[in-house]
Amino acid sequence: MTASLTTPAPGRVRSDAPRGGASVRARRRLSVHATYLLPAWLLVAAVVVVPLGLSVWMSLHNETMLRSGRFIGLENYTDVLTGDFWPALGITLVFSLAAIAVQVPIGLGLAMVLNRELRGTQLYRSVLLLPMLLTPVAVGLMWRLMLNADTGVINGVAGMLHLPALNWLGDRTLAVVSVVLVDAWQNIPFVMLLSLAGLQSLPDAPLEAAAVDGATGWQSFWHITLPMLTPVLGVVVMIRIIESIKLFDIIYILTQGGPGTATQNLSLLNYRVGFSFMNTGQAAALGIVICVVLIPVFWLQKKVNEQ
Amino acid sequence: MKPNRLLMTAAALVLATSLAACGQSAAPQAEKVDSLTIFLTPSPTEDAIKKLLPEYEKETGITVTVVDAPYDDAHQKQLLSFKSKQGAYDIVQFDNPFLATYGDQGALVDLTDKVKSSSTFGYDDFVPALQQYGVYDGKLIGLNLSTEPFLLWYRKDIYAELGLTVPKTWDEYYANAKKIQDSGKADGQVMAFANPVNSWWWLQFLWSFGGDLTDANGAPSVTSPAAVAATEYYKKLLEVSPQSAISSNGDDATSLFITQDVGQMITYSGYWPTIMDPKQSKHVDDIGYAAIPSGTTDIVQLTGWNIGIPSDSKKQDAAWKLLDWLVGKQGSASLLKAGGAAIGRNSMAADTALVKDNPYLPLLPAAATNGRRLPALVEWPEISNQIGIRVADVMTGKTDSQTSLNELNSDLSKILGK
Amino acid sequence: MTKTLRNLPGHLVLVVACLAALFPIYWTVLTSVKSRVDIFAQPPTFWASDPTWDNYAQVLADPEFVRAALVTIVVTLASTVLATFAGALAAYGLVRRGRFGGRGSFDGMLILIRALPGIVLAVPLYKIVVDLGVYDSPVALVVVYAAINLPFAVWLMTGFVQGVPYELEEAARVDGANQAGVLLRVVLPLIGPGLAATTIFVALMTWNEFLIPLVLADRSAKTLPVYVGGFVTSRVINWGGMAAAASIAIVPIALLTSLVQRNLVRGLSSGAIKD
Repeated sequence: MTASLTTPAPGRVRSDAPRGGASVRARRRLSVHATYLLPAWLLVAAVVVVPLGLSVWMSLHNETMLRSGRFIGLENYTDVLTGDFWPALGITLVFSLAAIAVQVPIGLGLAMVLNRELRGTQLYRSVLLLPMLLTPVAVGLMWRLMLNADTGVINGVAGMLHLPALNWLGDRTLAVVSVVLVDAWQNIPFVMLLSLAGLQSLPDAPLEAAAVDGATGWQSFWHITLPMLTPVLGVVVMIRIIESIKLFDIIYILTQGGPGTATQNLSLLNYRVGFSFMNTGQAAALGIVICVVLIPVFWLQKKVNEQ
Repeated sequence: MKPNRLLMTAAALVLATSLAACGQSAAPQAEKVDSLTIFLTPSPTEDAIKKLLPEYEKETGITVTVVDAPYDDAHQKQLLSFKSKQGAYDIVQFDNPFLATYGDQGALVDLTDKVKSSSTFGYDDFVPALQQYGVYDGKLIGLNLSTEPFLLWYRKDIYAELGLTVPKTWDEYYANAKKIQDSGKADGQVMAFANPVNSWWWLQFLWSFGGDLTDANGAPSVTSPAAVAATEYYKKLLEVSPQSAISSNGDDATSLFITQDVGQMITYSGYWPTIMDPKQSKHVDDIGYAAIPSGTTDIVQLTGWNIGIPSDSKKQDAAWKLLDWLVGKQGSASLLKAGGAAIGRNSMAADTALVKDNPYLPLLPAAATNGRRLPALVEWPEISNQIGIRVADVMTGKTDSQTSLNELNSDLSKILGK
Repeated sequence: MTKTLRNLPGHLVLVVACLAALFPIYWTVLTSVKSRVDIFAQPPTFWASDPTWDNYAQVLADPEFVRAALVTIVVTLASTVLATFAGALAAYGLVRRGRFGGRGSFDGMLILIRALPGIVLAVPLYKIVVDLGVYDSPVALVVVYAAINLPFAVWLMTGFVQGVPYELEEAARVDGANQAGVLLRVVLPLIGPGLAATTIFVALMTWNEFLIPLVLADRSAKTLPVYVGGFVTSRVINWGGMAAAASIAIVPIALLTSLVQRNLVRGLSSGAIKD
């Protein structure tokens, strides 16, 4: 929306701006945008500014994929807010909280162990990173095969161990658990990688001093490592919150939002409305509503960026 | 004699000029076509077509490119290509409920004259119900690419062991399933229960039990006692099904039937090539089939692919020739032999050699006559999705039938009211 | 001896974790060489006694697969270069110029891209792309991918640029280098490892992107994830073929990452984490 104000004409200012002078500040400001931010601004304009503007326009019309519509005011918004929006928002939050609760402790724990540089650490690390490299679509597919209650290997193994065969994808609660599980399997490596990088950048001195003072491993973790690692963990948590809110591929393949709407999050709902029902006006309205409910997340991200 | 011939020549001349006047359709057809692009949807039929095409390419020198997209995205992608009018596809395979959407858009060419004047297509070879299967608003816009009524499939070995007979009514079907389940030898039955495809199976029960989606005035009527009974029955079947049935679509259900021990299944006849393929199916020798049981009505749900020519295709003549070759009288038989789903032609039902390998062929024209199609409505994707969700809510125990159907009824009013 | 004992729990944890990470991958590869009947066998078989290569033959012989693979490679390369270039340049501007007018709106846009679900942008993008006549074009994918990964590139590169001593740039300027020369000869070599780490992350995310090509492409620009996803439809699931295609799709990106994973950790720890 502010693009036109801040995007300068290309090539207006070439060289580094001179210092001092009254009108210089304005030129200098242009210079930063023109010299360094121009490619980025072009991308942003093409993929965010213009589309979101168009979204607002579409959301006020009753257009579908097959026909252009007429102006209908806020009708699309009332349709969205009286439809499946609220349950989808709820399940989106559940996925997001569960992602943090599961992935951060396990990822950090693995990073701590890796950071001890045991023999073979490099091999361990290579193997542990693998899940994050796989295409989420393929991950969803193979887990769908493995989690099948009758033919899947998970229940097959459970049967061999005389454990009950759970209906992983067929039970409303377990389907949610399954999505959380698969998302965790794929993304714990990312948490681990960033935590490991954070651990390796910590100074050794405080830990060595604590060891001299006779602190136990747990004490030094709790009182020294963890506080020093907090900024890194903040970044990790932020990334995972955002990514789990955006979750689409795995759900699209694993459960299609089912059974019923038990695992239908905002992304999947928006896809359905826009592309399965071809109701583009209503899908645009839903997109704008999603923007609004995500404002706290944007704010949080801003705080993390400033840190 | 003579005046007659004169008249005919005159008529031919008029026809030729008027065609030339149309220009758009006549001019490109005059050009030599060396390639065609056809849009298919993954299915045994697609594989069979891919197997046959090289033969056609060799005969005609035309290169045929096959494009496909999964079922959920195929129609949206096709609609988009029609809208852009670039002539991206010369032939498209589509599911019958989309007939209305495509017809409303004028997206497909009317093939009535072509099939009637063709000596090889054999339009008379279909029972009236199947002649009408691709007709929308009086125009034949989709040829039959497959004829797939629901069939009952059962395991002869399990039936024999437990002394069961082929069920004629849905009550008997459930009773069989219950006995099989209780015997501990196998699961009672299987079908799709996962949304949104559960809507197809649920509709069958709705019709069997004497209900319908809408009443005579077009208002939603899924709160009827018949609808409640159908939903309750569907749920009762879930209890005598394998655990994963609740998250199964048609293919998952079929996989369960052919690789695990399940006594009976209701699914489309189009699964025949999969069910009877020894490479995929463990029980080929033990599988029996029959027409589905009936309730208060003997309606059978009739589905099947259509195939047609987009109006924006620039090679409509060549496309028609390929279709005539592919799904005409000769082609239909070749398609079946190549592993495709059967097209319900009378001549195939009467062909003893074909029937020997595909004994269900004679069932098709009959089933089509009792058959009822999925509603051909522009809003079908949304309706089917909503049915799926509400029915799944009952299946997973979230709500009871009556509550869920009340909600479905208001969903439908909202969708149809737009 | 005592050291080994002390390390035992650590090894145990890592071995269990490795098994958990590897098993689904092993299962996918195993599925790709099983016959369809065996795929559903209960109790499950953990070894293919009679492996079949049919699924691979079928996938590799499919012209659509080859096309999707080529498209994915080209689109990944192009958009990764674009995102990394635009991101590095922007990061330099942000670090060296600090506060300037309009910075807030730029940051705000990056946050929007980063935190918005892709589908929210995909709905209007679809309309734009169709109206511009670039639906199903790899070029559209390149631009959208690059923009989506821009925030990540800027964020990573900011840390690396901060690590470049400003004195070195000043010294080069005193020697008469112009700004382009400074960027090319002084800054670029110093942020090399950072560029490498950023490139890999962006390439990985681009390679695996599913929603955007699902929505904006059809045939000419169909990518591997969409191709793999195509094995599931409401009517037919070809698990063997899916597993084979997935196994093939994993290989290039896994190779690339394992080659450079040492740099990845180092790159992250000196870049993003230290800022």
